[in-house]
Amino acid sequence: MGRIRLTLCVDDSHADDLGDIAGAARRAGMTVEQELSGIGVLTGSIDADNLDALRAIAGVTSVEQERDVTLPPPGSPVQ
Amino acid sequence: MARKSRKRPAKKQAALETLSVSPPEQPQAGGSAPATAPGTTGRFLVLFDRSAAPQAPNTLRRVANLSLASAADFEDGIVEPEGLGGADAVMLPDLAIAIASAPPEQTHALGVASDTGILAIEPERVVYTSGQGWPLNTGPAASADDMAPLDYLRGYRDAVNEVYDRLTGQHDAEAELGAEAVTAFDEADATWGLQATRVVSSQHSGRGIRVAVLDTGVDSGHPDFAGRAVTGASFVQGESVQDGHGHGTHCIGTACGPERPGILPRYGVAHEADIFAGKVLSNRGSGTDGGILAGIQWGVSNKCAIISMSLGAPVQVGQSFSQVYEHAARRALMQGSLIIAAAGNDSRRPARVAPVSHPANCPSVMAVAAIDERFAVARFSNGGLNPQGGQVDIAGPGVDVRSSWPRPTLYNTISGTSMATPHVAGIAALYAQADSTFRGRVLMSMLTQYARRLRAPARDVGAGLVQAL
Repeated sequence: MGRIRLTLCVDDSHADDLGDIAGAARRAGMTVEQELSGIGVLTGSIDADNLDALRAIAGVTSVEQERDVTLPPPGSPVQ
Repeated sequence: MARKSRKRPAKKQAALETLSVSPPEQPQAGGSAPATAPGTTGRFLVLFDRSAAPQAPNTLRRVANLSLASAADFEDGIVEPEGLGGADAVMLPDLAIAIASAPPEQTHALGVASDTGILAIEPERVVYTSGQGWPLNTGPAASADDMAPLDYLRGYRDAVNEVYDRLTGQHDAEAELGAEAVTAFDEADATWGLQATRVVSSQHSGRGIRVAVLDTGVDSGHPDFAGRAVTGASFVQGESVQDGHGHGTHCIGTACGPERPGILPRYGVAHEADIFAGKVLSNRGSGTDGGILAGIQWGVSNKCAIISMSLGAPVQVGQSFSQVYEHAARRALMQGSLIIAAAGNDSRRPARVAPVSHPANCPSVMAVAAIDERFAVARFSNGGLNPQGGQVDIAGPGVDVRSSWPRPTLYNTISGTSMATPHVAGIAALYAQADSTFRGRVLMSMLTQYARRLRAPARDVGAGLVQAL
């Protein structure tokens, strides 16, 4: 299975331990790109095979595959 | 405490008029019956400024010679509607309101005296429970208070007309989208959107309020932003915050554009707000959750009271919202940052209504629909099809919206829920300036509470059209 980009969030009781959770996520195989402590979110990528290990980390409440957003071209009448 | 005589019918009439109460219609027995306007009790409500409330008993005594009881004197704080326990007035200390049963000239004295801390004096109204029906007075003498049943009947009539039109094939699509008989806007001085949202008459400017717009950046060299504090940050790898698309400059123009642009009409709402331009969408108009979430964190950590996001991705009917964004938005609210996002442009009304997009579909994110200048739902505007946050919260002007565009074009008129969203964001900055407690969830509820209700259904416009404070 390929590598997927993802975001994950931690519950409020672990919000102050985001660095610890990022460490655990790395040990589970995640490449952590951003630790967004203000909103309790990590972003990065991982092999799809390791997703369950990520979900098993204490304090991780949700793991989601990253979405893309796209605007219409500048000349479009509806933006 | 001495009580003043209540038998002064000659003066009573004049005082009533001063207080803007309609003169009584019913004949008076011997001129001594209480001169009570229809729908009122003859008593008056006196509203004090909170800081003046402790002095209210003295004020009532000194200025109007009214004896006073306090609600605290009554059992369980319950004031019987019939009497005031022998006093002329009763004070409701928690509300800073006195109910006065005294001749109008005495009450009137309170209105003309200075330094009393009195904010308003108004006649106490008779309130009916819905089961009792209304006192239908539809003649020419009907007062404003009697208009409530007329509004109700008008709505009933409109509904019957609509059923008739549907059955006879006269139903038209414009009506279904909620178009109203609005006078056409003259855009010489200000865009229709600023007029419809009453921004042009607002006393507020967003001064001191930080507004983050997460988009394609900004053309910070645009002449309309000269001299403005613009803080920029790019979350798009390899691109500066300079807007190479146009969308971001348009959105920032609507939310925070100047009071006097180089070329009229005025198009910007919060003209003294501090602009935080976060680039989360590339010059080609594309971005990812990672960049958007980084932008949200940036707005929160910079204490932006408003984070405007004219972006999103379509979702399916039945699809639930993102737990990660909901979590992030909830934490942003707790820290005083309200995220306002576009409902999305995937509908093709009247044939197809698409559900509110990600991330506007999160319960803790405010979802903005678009209306046109007849107050009809824009044909592209997404609707509240999904439960649990998937509803539209409020609507903004989103059709034929003029705003700033990167040089050398300078101005562009386009449509979208992307254009409606910064109207709400800029107006939110006016609210935030008006009262420092209007932050986070309180700010969200104030915006919906003061929205102008529309004919279009709540599924499509939420609480209605956002209104400036």
